[in-house]
Amino acid sequence: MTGMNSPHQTNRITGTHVKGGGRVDRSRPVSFTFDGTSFSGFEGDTLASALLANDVHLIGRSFKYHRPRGLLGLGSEEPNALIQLARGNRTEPNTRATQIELFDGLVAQSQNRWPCLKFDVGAVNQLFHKLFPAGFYYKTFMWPASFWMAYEHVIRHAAGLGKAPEGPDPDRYERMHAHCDILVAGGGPSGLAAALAAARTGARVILADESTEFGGSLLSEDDVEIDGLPAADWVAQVVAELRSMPEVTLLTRSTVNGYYDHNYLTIAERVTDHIGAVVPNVPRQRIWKVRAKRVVLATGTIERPLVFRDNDRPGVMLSSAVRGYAVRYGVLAGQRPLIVTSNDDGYRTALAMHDRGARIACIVDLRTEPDGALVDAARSRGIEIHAGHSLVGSLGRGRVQGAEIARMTGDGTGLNGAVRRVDCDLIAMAGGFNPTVHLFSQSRGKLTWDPERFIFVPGTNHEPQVSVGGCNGDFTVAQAIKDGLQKGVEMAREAGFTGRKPAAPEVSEPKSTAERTLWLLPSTRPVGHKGKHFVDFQNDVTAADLKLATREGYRSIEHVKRYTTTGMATDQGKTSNVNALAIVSETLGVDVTQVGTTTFRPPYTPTTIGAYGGRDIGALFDPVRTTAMDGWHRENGATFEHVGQWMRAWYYPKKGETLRQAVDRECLAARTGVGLLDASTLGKIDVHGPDAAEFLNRIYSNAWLKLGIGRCRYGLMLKDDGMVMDDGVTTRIAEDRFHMTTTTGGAAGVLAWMEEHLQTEWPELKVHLTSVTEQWAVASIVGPKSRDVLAKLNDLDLSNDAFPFMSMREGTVAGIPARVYRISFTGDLAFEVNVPRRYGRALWEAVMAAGAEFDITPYGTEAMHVLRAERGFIIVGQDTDGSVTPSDLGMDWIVSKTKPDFIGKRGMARPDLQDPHRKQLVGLLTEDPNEVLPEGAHVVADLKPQPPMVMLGHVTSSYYSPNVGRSIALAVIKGGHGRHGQTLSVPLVGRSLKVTVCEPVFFDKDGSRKDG
Amino acid sequence: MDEARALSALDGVTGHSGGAWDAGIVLTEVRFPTLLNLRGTAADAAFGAGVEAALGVVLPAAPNTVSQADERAVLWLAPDEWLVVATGEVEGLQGNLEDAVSGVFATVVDLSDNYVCIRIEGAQARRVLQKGWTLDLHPRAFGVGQCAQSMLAHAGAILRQTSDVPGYEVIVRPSFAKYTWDWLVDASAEYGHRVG
Repeated sequence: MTGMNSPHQTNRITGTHVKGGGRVDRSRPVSFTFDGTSFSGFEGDTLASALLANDVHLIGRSFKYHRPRGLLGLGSEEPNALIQLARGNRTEPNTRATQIELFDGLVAQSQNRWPCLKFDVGAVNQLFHKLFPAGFYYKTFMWPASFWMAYEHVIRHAAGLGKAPEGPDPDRYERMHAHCDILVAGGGPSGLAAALAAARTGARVILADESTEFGGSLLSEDDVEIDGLPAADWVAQVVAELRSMPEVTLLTRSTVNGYYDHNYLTIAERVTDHIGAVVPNVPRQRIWKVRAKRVVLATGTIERPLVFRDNDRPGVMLSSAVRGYAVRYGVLAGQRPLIVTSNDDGYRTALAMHDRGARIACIVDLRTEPDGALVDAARSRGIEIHAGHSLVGSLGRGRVQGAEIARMTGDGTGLNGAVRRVDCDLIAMAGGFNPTVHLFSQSRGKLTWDPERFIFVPGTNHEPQVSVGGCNGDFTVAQAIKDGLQKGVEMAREAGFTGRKPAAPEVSEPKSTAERTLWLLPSTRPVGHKGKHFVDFQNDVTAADLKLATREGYRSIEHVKRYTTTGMATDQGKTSNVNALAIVSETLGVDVTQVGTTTFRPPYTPTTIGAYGGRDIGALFDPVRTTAMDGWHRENGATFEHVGQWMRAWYYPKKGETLRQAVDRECLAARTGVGLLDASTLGKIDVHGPDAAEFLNRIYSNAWLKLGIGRCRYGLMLKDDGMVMDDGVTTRIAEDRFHMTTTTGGAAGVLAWMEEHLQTEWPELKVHLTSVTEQWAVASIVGPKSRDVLAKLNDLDLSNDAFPFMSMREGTVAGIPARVYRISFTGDLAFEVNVPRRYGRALWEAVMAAGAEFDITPYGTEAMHVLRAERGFIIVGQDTDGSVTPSDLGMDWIVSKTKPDFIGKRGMARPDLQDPHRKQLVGLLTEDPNEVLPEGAHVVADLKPQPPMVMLGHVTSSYYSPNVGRSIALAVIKGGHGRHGQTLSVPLVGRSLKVTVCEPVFFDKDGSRKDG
Repeated sequence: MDEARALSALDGVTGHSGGAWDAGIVLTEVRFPTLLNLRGTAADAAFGAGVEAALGVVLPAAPNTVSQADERAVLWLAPDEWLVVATGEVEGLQGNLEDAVSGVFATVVDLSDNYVCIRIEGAQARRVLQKGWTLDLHPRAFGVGQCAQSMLAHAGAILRQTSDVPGYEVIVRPSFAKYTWDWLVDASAEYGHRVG
């Protein structure tokens, strides 16, 4: 055996022992480091089992008191052994040692200690623990308030749970959407049975389990046989059959971590974590987003810790975990274990340990007269049993070195005998089992308290689901399998499949007798005096903290939870919730049901942000939309700006030019020569049908019925409240067809708005709307020489008489079929050429070539903004904000006085909107013509040395205009239309500017340039 | 019109055709399909008859289904909306269709430039799409003859299954074509992809 060559592992059960094997591969030793020290384990180990094999019990420091902590559990319930995994930007905090699969070269570090695990400075918190009572965090807020800033820094430094990486995560993460008839969460006996029964009907089944392999608790038992087979062999048989079925998806290392509405669940799959290497193109982790017709919850149970003095010492573990390490991993967590138990299950641990060579210190049984087969089996092995005893407290420095036990009073609330010391190196706590109801609770299921068994079981469910096995309160393997088979086939039937329930197998397992539940084991002194009785290990909440909270007046468990932090953070109360509830209710002297339960939150266990992000990173984070001419812009040195998802050419700097120089050049060219703008992104909607004109008449504020064919009109679209929503030019293509344009950002919203009105308000109108935004590529040829350029490419009569302003002609441009619109967003002569998108670049290049002799200048969105502002043309969404009416904009001319109705007509009639003191659009001119106001700057009449000042409005658009020869700005100002000529102030940081209010038109005030 | 001057939004994006022969995924641009958006009243017999006469394809009545004959397919998009996918000159087909439905309230719009069509085919094609497509593509839920509209990752798309391989066509607006192609290539990474 090559394993013999690997370094000695103190606690590994030797291979020669009858039952020593476990499920690790002893022929494959692997080495790893923990806090810099090298250790050896085997393939199949978890970090936890390998550390235990090497007799490492001190694994972390606790959150608040920095107390030494070791392993408590076996799987995801582990609250203590949180590990900082790997190095550099791959490092990941808060992973559970119990869920980390060992691989060669694994690097693990303990958390929450400084400078090192054995000598932790933070442990002085223990000495001052009276300063850190329940709610200490909140209390620091209260008094003295000014100290909070100082406290916070220290508290946050001391209370960190691991460290986040500082750079980008180099690993790949993915997402997968899946649908199934039945999702089974948990692959233990009940889950396997449910999956098998459902799958045999032909249903699509997903079975997910958080562990490395299916089997759940069965992998940790050596005293269960199913159909005459060892339990693990039965598991293998079932898994093999499931694997052979094409409609079954088997997911191991996959935690069903979230349960949301409509049977929508998420599964976090750890795809390559266990390999410890990057597999090219394969994700490290994958989030499954599952829609299931039916869900079977088979999440099993979590053992309850017993609450006794210093029950958090390394070496105090859950009994089922101790058994699991022995049976599943071949590791004795201690050589001389003491078992403290409220039930028969603790005896199974004693037997498993004894049979693997451990010397059992004793069994401390809370029950006064334990009997039954398991008790007999222990007695027959000569194991000492102390019935009716309490475990008073653990002893030791760091690791458990002994325990104090004493006989209890009959009611279990006090001691009734001398305290004896027992030597041991491990204390296994068997406090009974809690159904794992986290997912059920996440799905809004209501829990029911079982007063006989002191457990919460699923009550009324909210989603189409069922709970089976341990999580449903059925704690025997036989019942779990039987119930799983039954519910599996029932769920399949509900999902539309037919089939019979498979016959339940014969199960042989130990029989259990009654247990005795005690929430707080009696000690020599009251809780809170010497020693600590931990309830929530991860959040360092003790029984004394819970009692303090009740003394301070907290009654609802929701309040107690937040005050003491019990049940919070990454642990979500897996081992602590029921103990906390019971202790609070016992202290208050009320029933558990009166205290209530808290809600469990997703994710069940911490999930990396990377997994949730998936491939939504870098270039795939959000689509970048580009036009047909984008390649030309790039090749010709354009800079770009984001306009929603669109990437538009911003300006085209020549070598050495600043933004200002380039934009000035572009603006001058568009007024004195000819410019070219890519206007493709504007929204375009085909409006067709016999009622198209009537429809537009209702949608726009101005009149549309009499617009001639081939003519264009500018329109304002208002919301019901009379506020400007969008604008654009719409052209009548035919009697029953219009081509509408919208703003770039408003396109989708306008289409939805109009479609909604057609479907819900005016279903009698025969109109069809079709988005044609990307059917057309649009090049705007702008400026006094635009006609000369277009004339070279086109045989249309371009004269003002034949092709007047605000009209459209169809023809060809550069041989390409085109619609040419004589519309202008600068006020100058302009032609907007629309061609099918595929020819957009060809058109652009043809226009550039034809315009070369006129020094045609491509211009971007920045110059477009300046040019339109020179003429006082608004941009919806920049100069308006959803609270601006046409009247506020000085655009009463576009609101029909004669139309019987249109959207916004009644809204505009509201008295408040007639108020002359509303904010109105004006122009602003600075004293210094070179000073450009910042957009968003406030405008005031009474300037004061410092705020507050009465604000009249704000600057909406502001530029340097080379055509006007000075800076210009648009603003919305209270009563602005009546303030023309007034001088106002614009306070800025450290200075203020004087501005003169004027009409919002700075250039070509009579509008005479549109004809060239 | 000179087709040499026509550019697709995927020109310069897809790269040259080719790749590993055993790649799990084959991505192909279906260049410049003829696409006509059709609106009308399904219950109007004259409308349905007119469409069938002009296209030689029955108008699909069931939601998210496709009627197909030869090189023409009609995709159900909404109770009163369909997308005609064809090959060849758009003008003739559009004219025929408009003439055929001229007597009723109907709308035909040329959207041949409003969309880009990508074909994805291969044993792992369904798995690749399900990384970004929330609707169920399992053969029990979706197959040849069906179409659907949803988001493929962050791009609105029309999807239809075209073969049992399986093969699909993803129809997106041109401004989303590069994103969609890049996304598909990335999602195919673990299976390898070839450009058809």
